This record gives sequence, structure tokens and C-alpha cells, in this order.
Amino acid sequence: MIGQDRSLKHLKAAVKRSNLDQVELLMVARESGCTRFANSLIHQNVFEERVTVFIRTLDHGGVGLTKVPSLEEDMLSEGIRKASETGRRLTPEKGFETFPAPQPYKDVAAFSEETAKFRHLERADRLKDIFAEAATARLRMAGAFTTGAEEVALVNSNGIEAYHRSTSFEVAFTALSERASGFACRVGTHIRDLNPQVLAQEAMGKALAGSEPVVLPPGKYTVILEPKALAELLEWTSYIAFGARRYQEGTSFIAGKIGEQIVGEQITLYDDALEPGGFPRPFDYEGVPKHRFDLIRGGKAAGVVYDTRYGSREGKNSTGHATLPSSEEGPLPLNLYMEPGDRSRDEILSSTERAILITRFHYVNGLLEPEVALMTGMTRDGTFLVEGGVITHRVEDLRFTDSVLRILNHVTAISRERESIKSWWSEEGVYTIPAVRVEGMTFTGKTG
Amino acid sequence: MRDILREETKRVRRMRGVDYADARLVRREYEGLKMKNGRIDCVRREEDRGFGIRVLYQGAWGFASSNRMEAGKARRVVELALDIARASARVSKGSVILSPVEPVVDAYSSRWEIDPFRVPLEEKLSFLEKAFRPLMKAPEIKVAESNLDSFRTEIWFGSSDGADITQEILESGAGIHVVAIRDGEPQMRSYPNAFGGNFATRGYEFVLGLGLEKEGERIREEAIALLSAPPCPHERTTLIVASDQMGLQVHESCGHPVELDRVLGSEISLAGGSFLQPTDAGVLRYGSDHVNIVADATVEGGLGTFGFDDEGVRAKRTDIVREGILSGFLTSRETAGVFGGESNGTMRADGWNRIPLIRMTNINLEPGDWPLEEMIRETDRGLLVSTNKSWSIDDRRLNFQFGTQIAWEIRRGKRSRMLKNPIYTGITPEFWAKCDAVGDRDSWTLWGIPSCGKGDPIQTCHVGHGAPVARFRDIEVGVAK
Repeated sequence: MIGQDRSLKHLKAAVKRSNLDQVELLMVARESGCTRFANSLIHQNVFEERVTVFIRTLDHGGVGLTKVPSLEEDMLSEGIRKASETGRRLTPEKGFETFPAPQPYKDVAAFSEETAKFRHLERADRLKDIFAEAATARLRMAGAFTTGAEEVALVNSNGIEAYHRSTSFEVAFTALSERASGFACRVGTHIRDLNPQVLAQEAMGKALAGSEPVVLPPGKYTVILEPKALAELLEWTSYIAFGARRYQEGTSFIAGKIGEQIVGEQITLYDDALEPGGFPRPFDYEGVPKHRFDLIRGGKAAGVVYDTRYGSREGKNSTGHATLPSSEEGPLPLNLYMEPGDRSRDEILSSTERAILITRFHYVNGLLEPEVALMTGMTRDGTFLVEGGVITHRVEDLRFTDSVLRILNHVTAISRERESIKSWWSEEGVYTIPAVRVEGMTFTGKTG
Repeated sequence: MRDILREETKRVRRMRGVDYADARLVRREYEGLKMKNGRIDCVRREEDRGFGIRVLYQGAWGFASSNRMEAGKARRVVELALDIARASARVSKGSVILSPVEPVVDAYSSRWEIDPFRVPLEEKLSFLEKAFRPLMKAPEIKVAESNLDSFRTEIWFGSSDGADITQEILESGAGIHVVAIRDGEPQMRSYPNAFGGNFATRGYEFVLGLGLEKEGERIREEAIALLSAPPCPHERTTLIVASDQMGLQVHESCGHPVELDRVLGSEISLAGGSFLQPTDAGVLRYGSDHVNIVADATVEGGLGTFGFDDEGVRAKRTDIVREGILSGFLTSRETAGVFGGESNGTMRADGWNRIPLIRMTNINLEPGDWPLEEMIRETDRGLLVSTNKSWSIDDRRLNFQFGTQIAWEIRRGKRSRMLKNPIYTGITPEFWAKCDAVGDRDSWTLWGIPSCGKGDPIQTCHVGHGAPVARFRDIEVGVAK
């Protein structure tokens, strides 16, 4: 770890040396280790320490942007020079003439020494016990166990001096028998919140549940989407609709529909980096404070998220959702929550006459027809037939092709339990989502 | 740093229990330029460098990496890699046996005529502006982009076996893209391909030769026409897949399933496994007799072309499917070692902080002898689909569904009306078995895709796909809503 004093000292000195009116330096430093395993063997065990500094300038022109791999004085100065030199050749962007000004941040406790010190030995020891337990059940384990610490420091010429440190863990277990598989995952900031044995048992339980598989023909089915499955749909939904870029381009299904009822009134989606469920943080990647922001409230489109640049294009303030400067996606809600319901997952299951229970999807794609959020994907690792309120059979995997807007319009139950699911493509994205029951989800293909 | 790492790999190899060690020192440079809706949207200039060390201790792996280049860091990172390998060995001792490879001392460089990093920025921005100019000349076009990307990677690789390899790989690419919108419905077209255009291990001369400025008007008008086109019907029909979409078809339904680490289960929890078994090579019918696929890391200019992989294995050309029969897999020293074979050199890492994984090189569908126009003329009823829009395939690489940006009906041997939102779906070996015509060399293009994701932590790899147009009978298209 570099530390608050040292990182801010380097960044402040570089800003001062630059003599530029508008310059911003963002340091992201990570130390993380990942132990991957398959066939109940560790096949990959890695560690990285990385320091990256993103440099943006607004120096009588457009945005200059560089990225350098060090806090060293020479490298920062050269990075600033290159950014400024590039930016000056670009046409200024009307309305975007300054980086954010200092604002107060809420206290966010996201760092634990215990987690920072939880490394390869601790991970290997936990896995050894789990592999032994799986072997007694004639199962093989696969997955990944990641722990790490991150520091974010930001200094700009308007006076922002921000620093935040955090720790994280992320665990995914797939239990495999000869004919079936089950999956469970967890993410959090403090390793004490993780019981890997219990999580592995959840995956093993899924692999062993249900009797012989049935093949269901394509058609419309009532489904129970567990949090991981729904999170994959909502991650794509967020990507295609809830950021200012897609909204301004007109491809978001929210474009022109703010305030309109777009899904069932029991659906409320919001982003909140201050809630402890995901990877909490006090400010975004340009130093704007985090706060709760509603995306869909009571089924009505409530808004999309902005950073300073995209906000300036509509005369709006940033909502505190700047992503890393190197991202071309623009602002996105990466701490997405769905309001829970009032029934337990077990109650939803036991009150369901006939449905397909889906643990997770594979390779969802949301680009088919983004104006109606038409998506496709395959079920995997725990797909079951529910009959008379209990799981009866495993179901051979199915392909769905359906509109998420239609799915969210046919939700008949929402669980009060929520799970936090890590984004598969973003290092910081976490989706905290309940289970839901949906009537008439459309399946268009099968493998078996 | 290189000398230090060379000595450190040899030093750690001499320690009790250490079977092998290797190190990579990587420096990367990237420049990304984009013009969007009439203004320069983005000029990104990035530099990255660092080193990573793999240690095999009692048959178990450890890897550590850092981009902090201060004195003494290499020694500490080596010690950490060893410590991690010891932790792995507590659980998985003896699980890795590496196949032999002759240690090479050599240097390799990709070939280019014009270094894009030496072309003045104004000249490149002018190129983007010229490519952009025709795109927005219609009110329906709401998004128009031209992009130009350049990559330089310098890798030094050294192993405890004595390998000492330096490589410099330069990559260039560019493309144009438009989105037309009417009544909230978007339709898109891209050239020369989706995913940012086309890319190659070549210089700025490759970008200049793409002809972007000549194709803008066509894709603009096609995007607008799609807004009024009828949707693709749901039916079973003959499908002609254009070269650009064929590249992705090969990528998803051939390239990934033949990665031997997937076949052996290493990726099962995240990216998934494969429907193939190691014993399928030489036996399994992957497709019709018309289907011939190779993995070729030696083809000139391919985005998956290099001199040596990140285990020091010289680039190779390997048969994957020969006359429809599965012939081989993409392998590493570790996976080839399981079967007593030799690596065919496909291990590549996404930078200094990632371990090498089995990755596609240039996975190429070899051309047949059908001119495109003859293929259409000899099709009574069908669909011609082009340019990927959406992609999805199951965790065993069997059940796929792809959407393309555009399709045309074929009626009585002629290309007729345009259709929007085309989708086709199939089961991998059943689909390839229905291939009854493969296009000739004129329809074959070597596509570069700089965005193949795999691994955890995620790694993005640059891969190539040579593909001609190809025809498939009795394919399900459209989707039952």
C-alpha cells in the first residue's frame, strides 16, 4: 500500500509543477491475489501490485488524456505534458471547461486489515478443506477466490484532494458431478463476512439437487430468477440504458421516457455507492461525492447517471458516476440495487405451482434490440423444475430470448433477501439484487 | 531490469523443489483516436510497463507481478511467486508437468512500413475527419464515429531453461460506424467490421488501405434503409454467412471450444468448458467435408501473429479441422504435457500482470472454390447475413445465437429485399455439418479482433480470423417472440 500522505503528496506536487489551469491526476493502486481452481486442484495462483495514474487536462482546448504506470516525478510530468499537448490541439467542448470543485464526502469504511492480509496461504488452506468435503460427496470444485486492497487518490487544480482505500473479496464456486453442476458466489469488503465452507456447500447442494433431468421444449414458462440470474440481466440493462452516453445517443430505452411507467410498479432500481452491500466508495473517479440515485422508481423511469462531461452536454450536474477516464462507456451506475420484496425466497418457492428455477445465465447479450432491451442467454449451473412448491427435476439448459422490460413487467414476487453479485466485466461493479418470480418468460432454444 | 530478471529466474530455479521459472518484462504503448458526431471525442495515449514471474514448485504454479521498478523489487517479487507456488503445492502438489521445449535465444518483430506512433497527430485526425465526413449527412443518423487505434508491445521473455527472447509487435486498426434512429428504434452499420473495424499486426499503411472514406455513404444509407426494412422472419432456411460474420462464427464455435485448457475444465466456472473431449481429435466429425480450419500464428499481418508465445514456443500453424474431422487443439506446455505431446505455441498473456493462457492465434476457415455471386445464384431461397450485432453461446460452446446488423433475402438465386434484426441459431457440430459451400479466396478476409475476453482476472487478447463467405442449409433464423 502506498498510503494517503505519500500518494497525495506526489499528485499535489505534480499538479503544482504543471502550472496548468485545469489538470486532474487520479491514482488507482491495487494489490490483489487470485487463486483459481478446477477439478479440485489449484491451477492458477497469482498476485499483482499495480500503480496507475490517469491524467486529464483542460488546457485551452479539449480533454487531454494520458495514463502512466508510476507516481515518479518524471513520469507524471511527462504524462501531463503529453496530455496537455494533445488537448490543446482539440476543439474545446462547450460547457465542459472545468473539472469538479471540492465538496464534502461521507465517511465510508471499506478497509479491513484482516482482509488486506488474507493472501495466498489463507486462500489455499480454506480451499484444501473444501476440496476434501467435495470429494466425500463425489464432487469436483472449480472457481476463483480473490482478495485484495485498493487505493484511489485524486488531486485536481480546483483543490480536490481525495483519498479512499478499500479491501475486497470475491469468491465463486462451481461444484460438478458427472452429470450436473451447481454455483454459488459472494462478494464483499471484509473477509469476516465470508464463510467459504457454507458457500461451497450451497454450490454442492445445487449440484446434488433434483432427480434425473428433464428436457423442456422452447416456450413460455413461469420462472424463479435467483439473484445471480437477475443480476446478469440488470447488468446488461444498466449498460444499454442507464448511462448518459446511451441516453444522449438515443439508443437507451429510457430516452424520451423519463417519468413514464416502463415496467411493473413494484420495481425500483437505484444506484448507491454508500450502501455497504457492494464496493462502497465516497466519491467517483473525478472526485464528485456519491449518493443514492434512482433509476427506476415504482416502475417509472427516473433518470440516468452523469459525470461532469456528459452532464455539461445537457446543462446538468454530475450525479457522481464518472468511470475510469480510459473508459469509453462514459458514466455508469456500478453499485446497482433493486428494492427487496416482502416474501422470503423459500415462501416464493413453496407457493409456486410450476416454474423453472434458474441459478445463473451464461453469456447474456443485450444488444439484440436495445430499444426494448431484448436479450438472449443460456441457463447454467443449477436449473430446476419446481412442481407443487418443491424442486423436482433438473432441467437441461435452455436459451431465453426475451425483453427485460417485458420480464420486469411480469414480476409476481420479489424476495426480501438480496445478494451482492460482482460484475463480470467491471472491476468495481456490484449488483445487489433479490430473487424474483416472473410469469411467461420466453425460451427459444435448448441444447439437449 | 532484464538482466536482474534473467539472474533471478536462474537463482530461484536452483532452490529446492523448484522445477521451472520464467519472467516477462512488458512495455505497452497505446493510442486511441475517435471522432464522434463531428468532433474529436477522444485522444487516449497510454503507457504501461511492468514484469511478471512464474514459478513452478513441486508441480504447482505461483505467479507474482509488479509495475514498481525500484531496486530490489524483482528479488521480492520472485520470492513472492515462490511463496505462492508453495501455497499451491500444499493443495495441488505435482499437478503440473511441462512438455519439453527447446530454449530459444532469438528476436522477432512484426513488419510494418509506417509506424503509426510517428505519424503526426494532425495527419491522423485529418484521416479520421475524412472518413467521418459522409457519415452524418442525413437527419436519421444520430451517432457517427470513426476510430483509429495503434498498439506497440515490447516483450522480453526469459526462462530458467535458458530461453531469452525479445519481441516487438506493432498493431494498427480503424473503422467507421453509424447508428440511425427513428421513433426510438436504432439500426446500425459498421465498416469494415463491427468491434472497431479491422486490425492487423501492420503499420499505418494498413489503416490507409482500408478505404474507409469510400464506404461511409454506403453504410449510412444501409442504416437508414434498415429503419424501413421488414424484420427477419422466424423460419428454417438456407443461410449464407458473409466473411465478417463468419470470422465471429469461427471464433465462438471453433476457436474457443478447441482451447485445451477449456476442454480439461480449467475455465469451467467462468467462461465455461467445451463439448469436446481430448480423445475426439482425429475422430469427431466437426463439420462437413468442406470445413477446413487451421490455427496459424505465422500468417503475415494477422492480429494473432507473433514470433513466440509467452512460454517461449515458436509460432506454429496447426490443423484444427481437416475435411470436417477434428484434427487438433490449441495447447500449452502444461496441457500438451498431459498427453505427452508438445505445445503448439498458443500461450499468451494480456500484459505483465497476467499469466499466459491458451488463446486463439489466427483461427482461419480456409477458402473453398465458390465465388460469392455463384453461391447466391445457386440458392433458391435463403438469407445472406452480414456484420455481427449480438453474440451468445452456451458454456459448452454448443448452443449459439448470433444477431447481425443486416440481412438480405435470397429468392430464386438473387439477392432481394433487406431485412432488419436478423438472428440465427444452431448447435455447433450440427451447424457445421450443414455447410455445403465455402467461398473462394476472393471472399476471404483476415479479420483482427482486439477484444477476446478470457480468464480471471479477465484478460483481453488480440486474435485473428481468416474467413470466406460460407453457406449452410436448413438453419433456424429469426426468433419466436
